[in-house]
Amino acid sequence: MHETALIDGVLAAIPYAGKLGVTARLDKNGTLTCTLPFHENHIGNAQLPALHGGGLASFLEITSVLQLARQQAAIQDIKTPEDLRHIVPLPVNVTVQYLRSAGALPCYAEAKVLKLGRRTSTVFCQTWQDDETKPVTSMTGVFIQPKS
Amino acid sequence: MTQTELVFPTLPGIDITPVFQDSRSPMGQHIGLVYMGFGDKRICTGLKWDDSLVGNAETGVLHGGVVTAMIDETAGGASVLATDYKFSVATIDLRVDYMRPAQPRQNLYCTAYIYRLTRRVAFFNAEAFHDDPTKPIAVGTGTFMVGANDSVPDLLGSPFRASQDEGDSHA
Repeated sequence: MHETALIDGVLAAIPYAGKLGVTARLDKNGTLTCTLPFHENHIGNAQLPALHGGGLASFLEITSVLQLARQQAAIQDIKTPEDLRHIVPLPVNVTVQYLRSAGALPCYAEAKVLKLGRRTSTVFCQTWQDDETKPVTSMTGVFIQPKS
Repeated sequence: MTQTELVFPTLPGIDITPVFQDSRSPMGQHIGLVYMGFGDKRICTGLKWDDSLVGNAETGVLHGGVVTAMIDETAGGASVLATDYKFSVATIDLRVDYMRPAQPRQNLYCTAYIYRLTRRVAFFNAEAFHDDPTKPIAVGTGTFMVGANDSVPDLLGSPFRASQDEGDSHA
């Protein structure tokens, strides 16, 4: 399966990602960057304003799942869209750090698979807004693969 | 199957004053979070299952991020309650363990409790469950910064204030 089709297929299978408006883009170097567009619905504190911590955690988890599914596909012989169900990981736990207040701007995220396994994998993910060197949140997540 | 109305389950040994109030944060409203009760340093919330909140279209189970968002806001509410509405709060960090698979098309409930409060940090634990509080779908733990910024704490509305003012013995 083509990688872009795979990423689109996994994203389309997550209705909640659609509700948040999350999109994914693969650049020439193979780097996957996800975007959480700014929307008033994503605000947690309207006075500041600041994005909701839970919305950001959701974005981190979606980005991590996409990145991990990509790399699972490479080791699990994925041929058809139906095979995708075998590679979409399930979260065991996530730990989120809120490093800076996230303002009324789009958020971007990149994830790195620290350990890729057939049973469990560990992923690290960061989000930033206008300055890539100043992450607003980071997350480490442990995921298991569904039984195929 | 039609969605059932939200009815907060009884928490064994814990007194909860019922309220029914939509979340006051835009994100909370976006996912349909409802404040359902409060107790000593504790907030209870509920969330109706909705197909837009699903994490896997094939199974119909709520996305993990929805559970995390619910725990984050419930714990934020508990932090505001535990600090007598005097301070704004912001999440410092948060860990969520997904203990067992959520069931498709089931409403979710959450309770968060502030187990330690210092001048600058509120420490919470939280559980999310369907009908049985002793079988949590997810447990969360983390910290909130107390007095994080100059905004007026607005997570909780008038039902909480009214009932607190009446019986305020530690002012």
